[in-house]
Amino acid sequence: MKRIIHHPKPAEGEKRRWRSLGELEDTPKFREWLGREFPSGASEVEDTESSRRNFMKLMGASTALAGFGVAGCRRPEKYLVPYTKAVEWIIPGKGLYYATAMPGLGGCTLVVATTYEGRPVALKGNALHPTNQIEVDGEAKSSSGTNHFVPAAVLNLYDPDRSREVLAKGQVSTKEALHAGLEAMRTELAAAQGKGLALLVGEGVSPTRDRLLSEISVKFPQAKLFRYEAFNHDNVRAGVRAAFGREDISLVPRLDQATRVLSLDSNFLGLDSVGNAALGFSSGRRADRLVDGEWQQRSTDEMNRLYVVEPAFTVTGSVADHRLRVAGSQVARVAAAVAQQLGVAGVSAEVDERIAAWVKPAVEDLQAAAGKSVVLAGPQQPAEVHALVAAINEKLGAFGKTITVVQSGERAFGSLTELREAVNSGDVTSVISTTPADPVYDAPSNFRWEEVIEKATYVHLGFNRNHTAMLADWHVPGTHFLEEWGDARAADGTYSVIQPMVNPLVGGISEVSLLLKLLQDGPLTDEAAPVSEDVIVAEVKAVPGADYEAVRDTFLNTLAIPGDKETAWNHALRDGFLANSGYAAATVSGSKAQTPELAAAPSGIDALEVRFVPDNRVYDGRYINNGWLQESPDPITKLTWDNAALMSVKTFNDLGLKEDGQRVKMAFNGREGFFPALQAPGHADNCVTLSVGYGQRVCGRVGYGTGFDAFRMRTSVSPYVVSGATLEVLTSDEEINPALPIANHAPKDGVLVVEKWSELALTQEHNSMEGRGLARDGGLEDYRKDPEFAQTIGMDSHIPENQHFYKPQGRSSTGSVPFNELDPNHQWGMTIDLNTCLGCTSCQVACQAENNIPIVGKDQVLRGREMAWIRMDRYFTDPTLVMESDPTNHQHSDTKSRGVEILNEDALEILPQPVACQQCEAAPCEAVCPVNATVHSDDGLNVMAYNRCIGTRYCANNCPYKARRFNFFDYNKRNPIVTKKIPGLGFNNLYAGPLGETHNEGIGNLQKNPNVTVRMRGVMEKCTYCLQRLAAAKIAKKVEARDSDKIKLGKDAVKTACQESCPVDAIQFGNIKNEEDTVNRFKESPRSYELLKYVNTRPRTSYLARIKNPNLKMPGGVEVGTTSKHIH
Amino acid sequence: MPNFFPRWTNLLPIQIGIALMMMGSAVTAGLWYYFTPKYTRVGYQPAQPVPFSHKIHVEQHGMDCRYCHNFVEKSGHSNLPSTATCMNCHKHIKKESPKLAPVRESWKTGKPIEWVNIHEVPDYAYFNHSVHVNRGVSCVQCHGRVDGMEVVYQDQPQSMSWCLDCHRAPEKNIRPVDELLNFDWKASDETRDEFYGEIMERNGKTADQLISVIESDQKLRPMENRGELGKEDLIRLSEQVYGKGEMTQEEVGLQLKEAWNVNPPLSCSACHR
Repeated sequence: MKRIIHHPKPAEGEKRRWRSLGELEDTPKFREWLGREFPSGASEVEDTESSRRNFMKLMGASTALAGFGVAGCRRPEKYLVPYTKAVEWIIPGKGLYYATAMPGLGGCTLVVATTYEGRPVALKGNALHPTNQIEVDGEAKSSSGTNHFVPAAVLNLYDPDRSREVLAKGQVSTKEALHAGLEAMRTELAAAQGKGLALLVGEGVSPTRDRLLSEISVKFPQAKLFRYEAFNHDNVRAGVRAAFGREDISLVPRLDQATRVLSLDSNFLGLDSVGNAALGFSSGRRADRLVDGEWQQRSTDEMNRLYVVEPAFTVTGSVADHRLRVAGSQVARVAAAVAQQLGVAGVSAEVDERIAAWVKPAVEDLQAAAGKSVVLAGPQQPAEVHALVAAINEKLGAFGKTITVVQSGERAFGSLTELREAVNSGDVTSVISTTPADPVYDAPSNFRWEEVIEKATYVHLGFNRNHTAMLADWHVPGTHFLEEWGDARAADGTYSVIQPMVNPLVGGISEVSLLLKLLQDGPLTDEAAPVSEDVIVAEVKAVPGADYEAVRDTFLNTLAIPGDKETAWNHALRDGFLANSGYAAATVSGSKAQTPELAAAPSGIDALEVRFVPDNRVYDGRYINNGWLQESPDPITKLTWDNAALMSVKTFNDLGLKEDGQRVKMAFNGREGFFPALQAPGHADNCVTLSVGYGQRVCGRVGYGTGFDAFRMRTSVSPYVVSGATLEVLTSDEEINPALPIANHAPKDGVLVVEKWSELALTQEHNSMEGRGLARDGGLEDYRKDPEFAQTIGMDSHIPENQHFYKPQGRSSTGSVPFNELDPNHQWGMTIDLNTCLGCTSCQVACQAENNIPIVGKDQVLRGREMAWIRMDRYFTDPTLVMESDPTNHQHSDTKSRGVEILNEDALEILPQPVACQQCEAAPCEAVCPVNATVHSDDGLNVMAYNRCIGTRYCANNCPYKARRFNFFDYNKRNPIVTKKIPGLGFNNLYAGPLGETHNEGIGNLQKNPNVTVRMRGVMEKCTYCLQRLAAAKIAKKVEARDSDKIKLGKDAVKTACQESCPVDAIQFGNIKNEEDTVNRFKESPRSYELLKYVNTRPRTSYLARIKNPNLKMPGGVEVGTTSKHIH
Repeated sequence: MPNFFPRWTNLLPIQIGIALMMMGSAVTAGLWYYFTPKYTRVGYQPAQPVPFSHKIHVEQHGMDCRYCHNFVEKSGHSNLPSTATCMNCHKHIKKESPKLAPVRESWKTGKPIEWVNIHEVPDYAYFNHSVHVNRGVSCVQCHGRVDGMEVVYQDQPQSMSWCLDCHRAPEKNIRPVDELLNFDWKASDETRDEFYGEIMERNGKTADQLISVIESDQKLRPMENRGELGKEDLIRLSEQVYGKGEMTQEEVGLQLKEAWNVNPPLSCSACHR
């Protein structure tokens, strides 16, 4: 008999959690997503441009091709190719791990690269590094977590579109010509004492680069140094300079020491992270601690509390206990109000009632926790705000406690503005640029960098063939950080070595090598020959190059190393860093601050405020060609493959916009641009946020044609916030001249049509689950009163005894299903702590790297076919919004339901929840597979035998968690990015079958994890708990056991890829049969609950409810974190 | 109406039916035999670029398998030797042999020798050498008497069912770890006294425990009032059960399996993942 689960319906007087405004309004479109595993049409082979006839044509063609194949009935001969000389350390089939560093803004990230036979396939953080080690309740912990850019960076190495050839003014040239050009330039400059030479470098501190720059200053005394990246710490540095009058110090927050944090537009848990802020913050974020095996709640003073002032939701804002949404220009005003209340001399500001009511109790709270509180300002805030924040922090006694002052002694660089002036005035005639930025694209548009380039001999070293590369006199292909020798300092100053994992795959030279060429006297020669694409040549000649010598020289001769230097160097190579090489501490006092310039708040929709922010995925545009990042949904908007103009629901409605994706024409500063509008609940009113980095005209195939260029709208006058923008809703498609600067996205076939509506690949409604109380949270006070509150939310308080939908064979149909005992040694389990989870999607990207998960392209995402095994759900809730009646009774009409009208965007909260396969013990999917392709393993996993799967998709239909993904196409083989049409057939590449273009020919395949099957078309797949790692650990243990019976794995022996990458240790994984394993402690937590428990699937993954630590004196404070409580 | 069909045609449908059935069975049987690895794989003996003889190297010179396949105990792959491994000896021996020309060529140019793959595990199946060879599975069980082969050929079908046969009943194939490279080893080479003595010593088992293993395997009722049992009792029992003569594979395998806790995974995910 077919049993239907009646998921409980929301009751009157209840609060709700929703993923999209569509869910809040309960639109038919949302119900469609909810009801089906795949949306309608997703399962039919149907392209808008294809037809049945075309399909027949293609099928005919493939059959004909198949005929040719039959001739080869004989078994093809395959070859085994050993090394000619075995390479040291390499054991074929086993991973080899090397420590290196990934340079970046605010200090490098220390990473460990996993390599197989010389191919780096995955990156994770280096748990040995001091910034990755932390003390939680007296217990030392280390973490290999990072942000999502780190696991994604390895894909850039294998980017088939990365720069390979030397370009001279955009034309392919040769290395010899480049060398001749450089030599001529060098001779000329040497004769003129370097007059006219400018070096343009990127952010980040590299001791070797600094040393070489000093040597260049000796050899070319008149040379000038500049630094530029679109998002930088210039304002931060200027703020510190203004406050203390010193250049040589920088401030590093110690969030593990802070119990009260106020963020002023600082996304310190996300893109603005300095050091390992997320890890430090998460240690204080814990709501409970283990005392003698018992979970004990922390007090409101012990658990940290986060106040966030920001215009648009960020990862940081979503974690906040109290969030104040203000326009970007008003952050300074809030800062001044905070300073005024703290008594910073000479600072005052008028604030409106709403802000005043928020600031007063918040500052009182910060003051009460003086010495344990800290205020952080975002790097895009003006320098005065940073100076003000320094004064505030001094008042709060933060220096030396929650903020470490370090003597960074950074070199002074000129800015891009100064470089432009120097070039225009003729002071600079040659520019050598090694910055990862792309100034032609990302510099303020009034700089007209494309003209500046013309005026000087411009040498551009870059990894990508970007806008600047095409216009520069010389473009030199750069190396990936996994291919070069270098060094960098972390945020705390720890010296870290960047060492190559592989010879440059497609040629290219590093920044250090280029600077060395400039310093060199003799003729320039080609150092590293490119490794052939198809074969990683086994015999990599480890001839130390000049770059290696330079880095080693820096290490041995400029660093203070106690003991034997050679040993220290070897240790640094092994560990990735030199221990105790951080900056010296400094003390500061007597900060000076004044009231910053206070702009008026945007008052209406006729003069909007526009903000430019780095994108969560492509950052400043450098990751545009990284498919993993492009397809990982933005943590807040859940947008993929695009950017959009974000605005509050109120502003959206005020502007008369009807639907997400409607195109608006934005005008300010005499510039115009077209953007799709997107409602971002919780955004400040009358304010628009544009993330930059998209809409590039010169980039690889993955990024080309994605998104809209917001950089073109930016001027140097106000690079981050602009006021007085007008916005007009497009009513018809507009064709514009692609040459015009308003053309802010890439033209197609030379024509640029701005459509009035653009389809946004939003994943927020994809794979929505039935049932309520999926993501749970509560206030700390409630948690202290009723520790087990999370286990009785919704249906969980009254699950009928005999409900049993999918009973495993041989079990009774009543009561809870026990976990099996088939493998008495190993039974796996996972917990995900929503309390620390940021929703940053780092786990998702790491999973993609580990498990060979393909990207599917925007078109397929729109059809709900994204393949990511971990789905990062993001729920909104408005704790002040109480359900009036059953929303399913709504009569659907064009008018919005009452839910949206009365939405209180001030009170919005976000709760992220990563959902992957829950590895149910009584798995609904297993029961319906007609071919036994998905079965239960002895150690409690729900496993897939891909080769057996015939693609009925019954399992996905039956999965209440919607955790299964289907390969509608051979995404790994066919290139989903190519939009090229096959002549005579109106198909895009995926639909062209064997006639289409294959993907990743050559270097792309090198990234694949050799231990995981690459799935083909027609196969279902899902999270496996990193089965390959579990098996490898068990095998290693058995090998060790040999002729003994000690085959049970020890404590926390395996880590899954998501767990390793989590920057806040929210994911725990282990053996529930091993009492010692950490995961068991978390399973015992009173906050632990199972998703859709009433369906009685007995999932192996359980979640820990999020605990908020609200300040009850704050406006709306009593409502914070009360949504779950009101779900019956 | 005249009889259109002669009388003999009455039996025709039955005859046709029988003939079809026979043909069907023949086709099935043919496919069963000729399309399985037992037929298609076993005996595959391609010509190699270098006429390397395992017989000479192993049987005559007594070289250990692990001299060339040196990572077999450490890694999932049993590696082929690098050219350098060959040259360790052949720099001095048979320096001019024309058979070794490809090796010298490879050594000179750095281009690897392309050996023809014989034992092929499909991409969708995962196999790990190290866990087998460390847990009592000898090379000979999957690869045959390579030590006597002039040119290597496939000895076993290495099909899925062949793998499962052993995973379901590992006791039929495992042997003491000291005998892994002794391709001549037979269970009958072991003596009960030594074999049980070794297990008791190495794995810290008592005679009592080993007796229980036999008892539970043979579904015997446990001896009553057994008190302190010693090795003699164990040997007596095993002689009773398995016969007085030589040790059998069944007996050896069972004890090793229990003593080492050998439980080969049977889930699909063991090999397919």
